[in-house]
Amino acid sequence: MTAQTDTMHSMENHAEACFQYNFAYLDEQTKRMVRRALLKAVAVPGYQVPFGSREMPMPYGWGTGGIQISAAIMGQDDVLKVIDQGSDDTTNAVSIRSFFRKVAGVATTTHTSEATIIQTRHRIPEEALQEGQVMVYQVPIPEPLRWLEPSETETRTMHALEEYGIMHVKLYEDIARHGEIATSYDYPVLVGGRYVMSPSPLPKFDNPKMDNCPALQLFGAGREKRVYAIPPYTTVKSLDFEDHPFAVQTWLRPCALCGSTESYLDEVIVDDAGARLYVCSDSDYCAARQAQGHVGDGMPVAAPQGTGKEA
Amino acid sequence: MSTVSSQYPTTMEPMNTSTEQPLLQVENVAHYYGSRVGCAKVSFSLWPGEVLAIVGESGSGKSTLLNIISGRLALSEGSITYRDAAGQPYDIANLPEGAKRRLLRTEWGFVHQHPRDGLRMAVSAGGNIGERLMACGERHYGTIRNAGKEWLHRVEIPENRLDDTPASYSGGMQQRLQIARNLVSSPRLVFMDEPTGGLDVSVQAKLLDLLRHLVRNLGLAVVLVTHDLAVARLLADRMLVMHQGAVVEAGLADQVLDDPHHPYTQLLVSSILQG
Amino acid sequence: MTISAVPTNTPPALAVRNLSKTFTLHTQGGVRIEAFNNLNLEAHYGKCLVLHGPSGAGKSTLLRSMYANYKPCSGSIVVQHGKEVVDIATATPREILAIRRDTIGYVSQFLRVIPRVSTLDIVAERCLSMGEDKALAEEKAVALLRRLRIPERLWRIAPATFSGGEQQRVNIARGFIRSYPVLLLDEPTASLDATNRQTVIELIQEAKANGCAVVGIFHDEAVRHAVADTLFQVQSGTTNAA
Repeated sequence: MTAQTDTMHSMENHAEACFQYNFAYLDEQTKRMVRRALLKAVAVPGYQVPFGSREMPMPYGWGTGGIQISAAIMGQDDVLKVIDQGSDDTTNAVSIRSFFRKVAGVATTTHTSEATIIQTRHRIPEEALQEGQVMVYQVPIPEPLRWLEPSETETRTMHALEEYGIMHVKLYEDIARHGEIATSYDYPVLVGGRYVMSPSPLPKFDNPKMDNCPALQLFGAGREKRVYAIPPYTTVKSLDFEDHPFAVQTWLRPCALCGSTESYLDEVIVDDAGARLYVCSDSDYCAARQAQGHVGDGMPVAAPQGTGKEA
Repeated sequence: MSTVSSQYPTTMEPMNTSTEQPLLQVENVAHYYGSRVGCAKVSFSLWPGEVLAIVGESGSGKSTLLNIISGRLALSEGSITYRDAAGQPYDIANLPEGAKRRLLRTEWGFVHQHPRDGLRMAVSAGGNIGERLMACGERHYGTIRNAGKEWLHRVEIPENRLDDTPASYSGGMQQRLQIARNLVSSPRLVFMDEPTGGLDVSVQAKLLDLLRHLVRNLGLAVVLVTHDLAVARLLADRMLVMHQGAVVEAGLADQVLDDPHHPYTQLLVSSILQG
Repeated sequence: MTISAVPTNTPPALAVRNLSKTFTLHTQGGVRIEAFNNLNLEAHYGKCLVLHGPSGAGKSTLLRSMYANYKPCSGSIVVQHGKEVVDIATATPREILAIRRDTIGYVSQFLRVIPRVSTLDIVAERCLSMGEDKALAEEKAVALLRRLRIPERLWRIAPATFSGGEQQRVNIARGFIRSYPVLLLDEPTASLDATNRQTVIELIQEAKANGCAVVGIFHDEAVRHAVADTLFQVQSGTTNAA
């Protein structure tokens, strides 16, 4: 898990990109169409704007929505970071980075602070985002009301009329069945006091990071042909009950590698006996801490009864 | 439980005859399916606490009428005025969708013939009952849950079924749950479409008794569509008899049934099997 | 017992004027059957008016018309309802519902109730529908059931399986649980034994003593003698000046 900075790119690389593809793969008309949809999305925070999603050279579910947004907003000076489940070095993240290096010739990075565009699947980096940065989320199912209402016509009407009672029915069912709000990812939020929005399969740990965030947050669902957005410094409230307030996950122990007690931890099974290691899901954050001299106990935990997590 | 009853009044004063204005005024309404008449020239007024039965055979236009007065089907002609608890009149035909839906989840209820149409089958009984409260802004889990328990009790379903989904309920229980789900927000006007239609006779009787108690104790006004004249007699104060899209006879329920004047009503009444 | 109406200065509780009723049976080729024509009578507070005449003379039809269960063809049925005087023949359903709740009580020949509802609840119902306390209403119901000799083991059972006499006594209890200014009785003693008949006579006399105007049909001569103040002859198709 070394922090690599692949900001280097050759002129040949760029020339090749220009020769074979339009900049950032999509044609200019398509990018304009996506940008128009994004402008509307920014103007109406949390509202799902339909757009003409294109076929991309990858299957649905691999981030086609996020890639189209990244392609539409990308300029030659942008620096791209891509994470998948918090990690910079998983297949999806590596392929998308290399895709944009090839078709746009832009610089890529794994450092959160260096990036101008951060495309993500399932996480928000631990390091605080800044003004000028853009988060691009890959979204599989953009409609938070879909769980209880199969009709698209009806869900759109419900959004229009702010009929969000059934979102609480979902949370009620959680508490009735599990004694607590068991929804731990894709936890519904109210954006700007108006639209209920699905934050994509983000762990609810990351929900507070969306609130009043200095960065622009854009969401793209390729298969469902929807984009939506949270402009900088917008209130994002996680839905809850007065007597069952929203709470994020906590862990019994710090990260085994960097000793952080404030980050979202992944569980890694390290042997056949089921012993497991709890480590930061954000690989860049963890590496940076280790570089600063923070050390975890490195000790795996014996196979547990539970998951080791506590809500 | 005290929180529940203070926030959601579960009993009301008995019907007050000095209530000046009708709850619902239907004037000369019609609905056409293309050139075919669904129902036409129907007028009536409904006062708080009154139960009005609309009877007639299949295709007589009774369900069409129910759907237009509950704002679920567009009016071709005429007007419908509803007065809310504060006396504010609403022109139902020209009410914006949002206001109409707000009425339907606060001051109105709609009990479907098939519980499946009126319940969320994958959601627990408590969630079904609590939905209206949550839609009206209730955000206290304990309060919602207590309301669920209280209403299960009122419709005679054991409290330990609160977390079960209606899919595991019998037909009669499902129908009672649908009624609870509608009444939890203390509506003033409830529309019922053949509420006992799909039930066994033995279950029907229990439901009828329950409905009559609730109607009386809550001071509900009800518009009840039924083809079962016995149900109409036992529940309704007044009755409209529909035939081929028109009201052919109207009046007190027992008067229409015991002294029918119109040929069609006489035919209908004389066709009842004597048990 | 007098045959003609007692002249009185107090306004009648209920007055029938020029009342006619004809049934048209559309399902049987439009046959017209005249029940009565141009009837006039008055019922007074504290008195019992008995409708008398041969079977099929229209007594029941007249009584049912007074309760607005039947709709007369012409004429009026004027009743003192609270401070108002209302014509039942032309009143709106809403007015009639109010009159039935506050002014006119009716004991029919047959018990017609929701199946599976207990006897006690059936008897208490008219008190409950007035918003009376449940315990108090049940107390009254129990007293009446006891008085009419309905065995206690039957109180919690629905009356569907009761004998004719038992059902009728439940019906009487149901009608007498509240005191109405006007009470209409349609052969309340038809299938009762002597002891229970006596109880019903007492109930009627108590109602009269309370100022109730009773209008009834009694086939049993003994009962008629015991309760009637005025006898009104009903004869089909004839004009009666009582």
